[in-house]
Amino acid sequence: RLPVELLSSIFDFISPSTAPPPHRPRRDILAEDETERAAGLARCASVCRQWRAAVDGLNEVHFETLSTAPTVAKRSRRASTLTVNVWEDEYSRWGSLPLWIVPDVDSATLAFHCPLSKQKPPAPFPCPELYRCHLREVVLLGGTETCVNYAWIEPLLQDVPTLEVLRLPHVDNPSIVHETNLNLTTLQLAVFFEYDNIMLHNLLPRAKGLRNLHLTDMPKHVHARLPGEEPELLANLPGVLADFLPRLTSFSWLLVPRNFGQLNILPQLLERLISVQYIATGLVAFTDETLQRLPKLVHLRNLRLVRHAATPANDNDPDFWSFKALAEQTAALLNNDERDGEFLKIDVQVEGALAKYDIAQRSARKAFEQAMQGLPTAVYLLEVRLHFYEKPYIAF
Amino acid sequence: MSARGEAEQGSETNVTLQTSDDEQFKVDRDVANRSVLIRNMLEDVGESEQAIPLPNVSANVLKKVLEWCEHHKKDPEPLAEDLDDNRRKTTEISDWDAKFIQVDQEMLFEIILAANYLDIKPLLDVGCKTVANMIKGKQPEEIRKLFNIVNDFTPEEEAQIKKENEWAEDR
Repeated sequence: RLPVELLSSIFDFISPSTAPPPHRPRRDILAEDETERAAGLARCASVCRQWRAAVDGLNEVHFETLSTAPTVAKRSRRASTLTVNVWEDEYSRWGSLPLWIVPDVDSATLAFHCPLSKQKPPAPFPCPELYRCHLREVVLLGGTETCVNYAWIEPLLQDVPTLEVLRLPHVDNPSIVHETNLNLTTLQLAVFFEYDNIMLHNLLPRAKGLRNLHLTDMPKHVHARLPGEEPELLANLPGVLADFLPRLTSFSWLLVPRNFGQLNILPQLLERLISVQYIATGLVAFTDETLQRLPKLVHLRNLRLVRHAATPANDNDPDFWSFKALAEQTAALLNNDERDGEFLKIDVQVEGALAKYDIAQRSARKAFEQAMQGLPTAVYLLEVRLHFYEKPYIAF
Repeated sequence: MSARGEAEQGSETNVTLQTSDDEQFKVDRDVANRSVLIRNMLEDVGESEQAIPLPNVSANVLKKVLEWCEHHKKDPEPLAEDLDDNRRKTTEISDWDAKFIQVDQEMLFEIILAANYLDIKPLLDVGCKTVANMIKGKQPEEIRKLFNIVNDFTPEEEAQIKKENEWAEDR
């Protein structure tokens, strides 16, 4: 008979938690594996009392539907992490969470599965009990269409001084935040149009301790605004972020390609990211020219890049980054006197077919072997991994 | 009391461990250092010929644990970053570890308890992952049968749990 703590650890392995740490962005939906974890834990909790106590020890509670939430029995131990699915017929409910949730939950993830555009008048926030929780983390997700109304968030920003982590990858209709003091350390926000920055513009001055900023895009297919509208170039973003970039320790730039216009923005941002340790970028973010900023990021521990499927196999293309430039700039970074021997991990997600992965592997291995020839300590200071589905490859 | 284990290579590189059933094992310091508990004890006592008592581990279990420590004595300490990102993402076990952990259920649980007591995180993970793989995809009744667990819920509790977890049953 294993003690409860060890059983909890075993259950954690059955379906590992996919909740990202604050320095990582999260996916913009409640993914299958996240629900599968809750289902696996529910099955374990049905075995016997000791196993139920062990599941409770993980401090998580998942309501598959809002309608059934009030019938769920109180946990034997503090359930600090809540996940709720809100389905189409549940939007009109008002006050649906069991009241034992209120004093306990400090992290809430809500996934809304009904497009707001169909609701007339717009539905009220379906889980108002959360306004009374001492929330540390709020994550509002959409389903297949935009489902999150900004108006639902304002009370959270005004009345929850404990809030540290706010992830809003699906928020629609951003508006001005009223006077509020926030202790946000982590913010994930979708920026699509120039005016989405209004929210950033208003939130940031009130988030004095912000360390982790993850800018993502509302995928176009889930966007409720006019079909056919192109994402804007966000030219004012460097200005909006200027004062905050120097103190960020993690920064994600996961925006959909904007006819290569965003290439002009990222270098301006990188110039001010002097404390950054974690950078995650998406497609069409870096170019060989942008990579020239890399040696100055002396605190960098992890760089995540995507290799575009259209990247030429051998020649350089000014629109894409190459492994040759990445390896050379990495060597310059590792050689920078201001760097204090910190280990650097580079992860590259390879897009395209398996053949592209093969080419990427060869290019990466060759480029890094060559660039690190004059740097014997590189083997202790650097790891370069390529990723293509479930086939990671260590290139250096 | 008997002493068994590695051939002596000088007392400064060897450590003597004493089990709950009073058996003594003389092992290389590198091997013993895989256990954070033993490493800390060695740091506290300094150079000493005295056997380190391990009252929660029996000889047959310690023998097995030391086999794992011997094989992994040169493994690098995992990076904090890897611990964060990768350790819990998979229930994959290396070929050697998978063969090592092919033991009966009682021994498997004893190894897990010993790894936990001795604070050998990677071995604890191997044990926990093995049990996790045994549980994965099984329904509660199958799990009870597999581990010989008695269903100690009252009929009322069982009805409540069944109602709460209906959504998870067919997944």
